[in-house]
Amino acid sequence: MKKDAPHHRPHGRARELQRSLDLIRRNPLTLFGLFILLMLTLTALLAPLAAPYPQQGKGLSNLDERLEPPSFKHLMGTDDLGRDIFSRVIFGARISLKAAVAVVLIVVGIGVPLGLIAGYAGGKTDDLIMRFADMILAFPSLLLAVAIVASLGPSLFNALIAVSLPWWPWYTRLMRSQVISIKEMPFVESAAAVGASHWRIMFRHILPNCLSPIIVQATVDMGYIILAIAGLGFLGLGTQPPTADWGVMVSDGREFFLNQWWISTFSGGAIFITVLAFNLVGDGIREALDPKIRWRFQKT
Amino acid sequence: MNQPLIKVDHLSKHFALKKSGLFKERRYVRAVDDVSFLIGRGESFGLVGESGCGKTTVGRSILRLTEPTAGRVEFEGRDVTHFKRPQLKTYRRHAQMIFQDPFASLNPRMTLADIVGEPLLIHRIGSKKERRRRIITVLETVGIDPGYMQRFAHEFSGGQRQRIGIARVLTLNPKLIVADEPVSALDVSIQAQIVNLLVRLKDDFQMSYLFISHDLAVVEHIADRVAIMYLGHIVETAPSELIYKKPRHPYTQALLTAIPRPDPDAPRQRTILEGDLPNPAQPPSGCPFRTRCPQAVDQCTAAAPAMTAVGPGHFVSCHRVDA
Amino acid sequence: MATPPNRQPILSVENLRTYFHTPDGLAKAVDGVSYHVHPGETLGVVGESGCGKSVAALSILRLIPTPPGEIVSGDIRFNNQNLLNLSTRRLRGIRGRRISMIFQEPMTSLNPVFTIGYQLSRVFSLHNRLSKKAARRRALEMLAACDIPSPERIMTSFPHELSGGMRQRAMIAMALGCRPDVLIADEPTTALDVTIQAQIMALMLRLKEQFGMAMILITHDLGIIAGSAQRVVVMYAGEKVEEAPVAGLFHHAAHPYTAALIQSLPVLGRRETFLKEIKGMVPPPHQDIPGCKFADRCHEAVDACRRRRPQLKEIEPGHLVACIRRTDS
Repeated sequence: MKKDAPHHRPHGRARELQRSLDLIRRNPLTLFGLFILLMLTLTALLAPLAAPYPQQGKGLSNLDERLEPPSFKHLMGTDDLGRDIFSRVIFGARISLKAAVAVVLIVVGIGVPLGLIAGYAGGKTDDLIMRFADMILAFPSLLLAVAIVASLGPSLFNALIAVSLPWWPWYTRLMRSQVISIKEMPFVESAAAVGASHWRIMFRHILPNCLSPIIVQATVDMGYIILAIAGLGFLGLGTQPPTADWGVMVSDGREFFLNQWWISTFSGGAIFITVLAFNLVGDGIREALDPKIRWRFQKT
Repeated sequence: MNQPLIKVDHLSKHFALKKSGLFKERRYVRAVDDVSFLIGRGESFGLVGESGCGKTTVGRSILRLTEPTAGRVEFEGRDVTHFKRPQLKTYRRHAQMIFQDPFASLNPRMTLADIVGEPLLIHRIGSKKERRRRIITVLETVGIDPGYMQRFAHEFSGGQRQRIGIARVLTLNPKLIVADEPVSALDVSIQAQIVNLLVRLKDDFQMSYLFISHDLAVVEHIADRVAIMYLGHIVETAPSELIYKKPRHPYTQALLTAIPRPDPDAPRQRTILEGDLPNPAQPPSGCPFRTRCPQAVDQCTAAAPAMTAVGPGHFVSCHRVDA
Repeated sequence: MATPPNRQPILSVENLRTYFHTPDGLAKAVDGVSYHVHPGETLGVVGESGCGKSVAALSILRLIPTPPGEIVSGDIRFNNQNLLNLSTRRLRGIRGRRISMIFQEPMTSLNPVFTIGYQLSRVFSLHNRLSKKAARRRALEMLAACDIPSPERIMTSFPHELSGGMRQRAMIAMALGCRPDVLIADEPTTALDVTIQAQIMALMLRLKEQFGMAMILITHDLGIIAGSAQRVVVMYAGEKVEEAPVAGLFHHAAHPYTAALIQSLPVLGRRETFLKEIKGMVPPPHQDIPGCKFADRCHEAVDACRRRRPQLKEIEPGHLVACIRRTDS
């Protein structure tokens, strides 16, 4: 009765991993995005070592060298307080990535379990949770964020909260629709038939099968979270000076934009590249996880 | 101790439809309507009918995967319909289900070992080592190489996946298996393998089956007794051979003639049944089959027929049958 | 019912090879298959999943998604034209008009957002250049011819409002409205209940006679083949393993696979303890097997079977088989 597959092929989890890596490897855009993210992460982690002027990155001014254009000494020029923009961009990466990770964790941590419960329980619980989520979604998110920061006071921490609060309902919705379609599948009923408790069904059977779109969404969202934080920073409602923050840097460069274009442009460019990279990687992950591609030839 | 293993007593299951208007009456689909039968220890009972007849709902109601609207189900004399959670969990050790779709009935994110071992884990049976041994034994029993334990479900073929589904429920050594169309989604050459496996397991482990299928040929082969269902009702119950040799209900007769035989010399039809299945939310009055029955008379519209005995163990629900 | 020996086939498939490029390798879904059908004849193509019967049929009308599929080689002759060489425009004139196809799952072949009437009329007005009114009239006629009650009501209904049997009838109406020369029916009744199946098969056979069409009936159900086909082709793992008139196939099946398949069926009225099963499984399509693909599962296999692919040879008039245990003595 044994059907011996060729011996060199991996099976089980090893095969899953290899298949995903293959699909990612094949897509040059995804690789590009990954490369960018890798560089970003490394520079963020090694900021004090990577930045040529770490002190200036942290905020030390150097009024002798104000507003200098890009040169070998200052690769991206200096800002109005003489600080090396390249170093500040590197330190800004730290802020952005930390913020992105923190917000994603909060948003997923709130949104996904609520979506799981809403989708699984159905009925009044579902209604309650979804109406609450709908209420939040009814507000224009930027205004809501501004309002939150305005009441709590401008700081990075408060900006994180302000971005997270309007964001989690999207994940509740996403998770809930996944749960609703998965919970009808026979393997879920099989788990119930075998005596599994509701908890077991939710966390062992339904949740693992709903994660793919969440992972894709979270990846792409990280870019947009950085954009949102930068937006609040631009408005002066997030990171406070002298901490380097891309959004703040763009805002600072506004008044000098015509003659000293480099202050806004490089930080703006950093935001752009980062959002792009997350988008590309997110797309790549979506293709890699797409069940249609994997299980194309199950039945002929 | 001639107590039947399962006793289904006037079981009904109604599904409420969405109200079509604020003041309109709520309509129901009577998926199962007053169904009664017995399954003995070690007996294989077949439930046959076409789509929408309620056979799957009966199976799920017996296992409380769906809550009956009315009636009782007794397992070894105890009323299952009123079991609370802890008793229900124990019941699940004895009454299990195998599903139709081999491609959707196994969790795509679980390995073979996890899938087959899960029931043992849930019911806290055995130590880790003992569980592993049981998984290996059960896999060998159904004909799957235990070396494949770390593989995922989608790496197996349809027939193998069905075996895995069987292995999974076998770990609990159940007394009753509700098999819901277990071979319908499989290739013909694999169907025979799985049917043979089920027959062997029944004998080796003294299990009872509720074998649900639309395929009368398969059911006749594996079941000791058969009940034919139409629109939520049982229209005929009989020992396997009698269903074929002496079908008394017009629907059973139509069903038998409609089945294509793999024999070019077999006499071609027959009475082809006209029309479609009636809307289950608006079943015909009286006998549900009367709209398509070649023998319908006025009485059939007026009143629903009662179950009458026409022979030993042979019951028919039809006005036109003379006992 | 026997075909006069001098009639030319209206559609013939010669040495068709359709391959798929999959992550697991090259899947040879159809690997050198030939068959033909005469005008007015019903050819049954029988086989299990993975045998390539559906892929072969889709290849006839070039409905294979390319990529990952590819019709690598072959000749498909219809009315002295090779369909594989036709321009897409001319092929479209043949699809639905001269050669029609109906599929297993009518829910996915009928567009859910358009009414039945709209879909049918569109097909007729496009192919036969009928005015809207004339096309609508033809649609109504066809629905009535397919035994659909209250055709006017069905014209304005959507596919999801109809039962499975009704949808299949609508599909048949759509496929036969242009009076094609050949109808390819791919598992037309598999998704239907047994009693409805009988109705649909009877309808198809009646219309076939009425319109004088040829039909290629693709199914895994040997019972349907026995009742509807005149000649039968048996496919296994992408190859044709046997071809015979229907009586010959069932009474003297030559290929071990065909014989085993027939014997493994549970037959009504004949209860046995165990069915005669066929051990093993169909080999996956991307696996390269040098000899006979059935050898691993065959009781009669010998070494020679695994060395070279068996050739189709005629053992009786009209009865071909690809098995060295039957043809070489």
